Amino acid sequence: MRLSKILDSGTPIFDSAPKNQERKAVLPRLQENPTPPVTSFKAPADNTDHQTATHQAEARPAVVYQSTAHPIATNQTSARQTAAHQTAINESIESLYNSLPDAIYSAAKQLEIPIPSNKNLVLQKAMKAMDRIITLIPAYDDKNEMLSLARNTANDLMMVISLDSNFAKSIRRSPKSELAFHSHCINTALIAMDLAKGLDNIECSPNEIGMAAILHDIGIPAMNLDFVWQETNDKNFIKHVAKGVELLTKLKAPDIIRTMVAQHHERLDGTGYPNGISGKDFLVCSQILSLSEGFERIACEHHHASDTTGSSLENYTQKILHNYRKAFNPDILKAFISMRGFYPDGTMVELTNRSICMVLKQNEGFPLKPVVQIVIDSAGNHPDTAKVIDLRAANHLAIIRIVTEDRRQTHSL
Amino acid sequence: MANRIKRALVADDDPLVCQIITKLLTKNKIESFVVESGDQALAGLEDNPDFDMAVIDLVLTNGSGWDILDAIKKHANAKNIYTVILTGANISSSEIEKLKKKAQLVIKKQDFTVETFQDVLSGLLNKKK
Repeated sequence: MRLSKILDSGTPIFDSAPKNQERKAVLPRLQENPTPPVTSFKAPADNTDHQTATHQAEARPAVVYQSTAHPIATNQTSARQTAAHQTAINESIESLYNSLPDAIYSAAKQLEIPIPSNKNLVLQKAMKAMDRIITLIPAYDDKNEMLSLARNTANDLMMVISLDSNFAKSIRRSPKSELAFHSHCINTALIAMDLAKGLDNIECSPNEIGMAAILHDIGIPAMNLDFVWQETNDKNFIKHVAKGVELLTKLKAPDIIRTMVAQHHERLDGTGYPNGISGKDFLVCSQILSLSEGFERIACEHHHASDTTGSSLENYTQKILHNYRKAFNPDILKAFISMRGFYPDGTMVELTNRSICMVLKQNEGFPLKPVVQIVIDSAGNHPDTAKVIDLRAANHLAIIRIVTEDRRQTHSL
Repeated sequence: MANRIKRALVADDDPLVCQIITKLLTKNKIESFVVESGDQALAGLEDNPDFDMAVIDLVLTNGSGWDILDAIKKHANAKNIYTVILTGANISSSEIEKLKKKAQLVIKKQDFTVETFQDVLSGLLNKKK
């Protein structure tokens, strides 16, 4: 079934982000304040007492506020910016949002200025963009529509993440197998940009990483390969990396995008593919993409298995640590775990007082201390009313282990 | 004599940026005169040059922020405007040097914070009391 039909049928594509994250519409509050007025250009200017306008603004030296976190002033960056600018001129698909810096969105959020943030709309648009990208693969497109789609999709997703980082934490693949590829690319972009915005010294912007994430697996449909749930060492499948880079080279994608796509299955210890690079050759931005891609596979494979077989819960954050502890820079892994939490939402855990709890949400920066809800208290009873514990504040309590489904059944008996 | 209401020219083609600046100006009892293009800003300056402040984006349609800065410098009644460049453009060091000669303050949108801008407004208001 084509995506447009699926969308029109009202089939849910993603689990929506937490419902309590809706933004307040506060524009009326701004308008309630009648003075001083905001004058548009067309409105007549307010005639105030001009006689007092005798002040003399001092001609003092200009102060330039510049971030030092990202060492971006390189010739390579300039070349990328020029290419990006040229591509932007050719854009035929408009972004839902202008790609303003995060700082502006943060300021708007702080001032409670409403921003259009229809997350489902963004996701639907992203799915359509993925569909279009796949359609464009067979034909070389000199208008660079594919790059524009990827860039705008990344910008839109980043926009929503900047408003609500939970958006990137509630990933789920589409239950429709024909949309699994779409979901994988979008989820990877969400995870990667969410991670990138909290890290310093990355070779490019989070939005560029998002763009690479949208495009990282285009070699798969380009080779007419089936998108599979697990990573595979099948020699034919491995070629999808080179095929994707080849396609992006034809499209004259920026170097950094091609590099990230080329390295998205590499590992820091040299065990990745296709080139087995290691050390400094494995760029930080590529590591972010690679880790995010791997996490998406593990997390969504877990959801997929749970949904279809009802298999026991598994801590896929711990699985990341187990699988990838030597595969990525420790600082990136640390930031990832700190952001995602050690115990994902929905995990059943046992506390030091022997109560069984379900993880409700994460405390960012405190990966071992999420917010939990008691399912079975320390006396072995189900609480009459919902009791929520913020483990960050409850110093006397800690998680001692994850409870498997078997364990929960034992408790239930 | 009562102090007249302070006035600020806001020239930016992004509505969200305009809303942010306007809200902060309003909180500080500064009237906003919002335009979204270079020619509108120049016309506004010509009509009422007695702005106390101008917050200007560099990249605008129908004229740039540079044009507005030049107009402010040349206009006899506008040259004392406290000018703030608020830009998301990647400006070179040489461009920054040129801006320093024309504007009092340059803020990159990437580094914009409510607190920083509030400090700027507080400093401006205290200086002009």
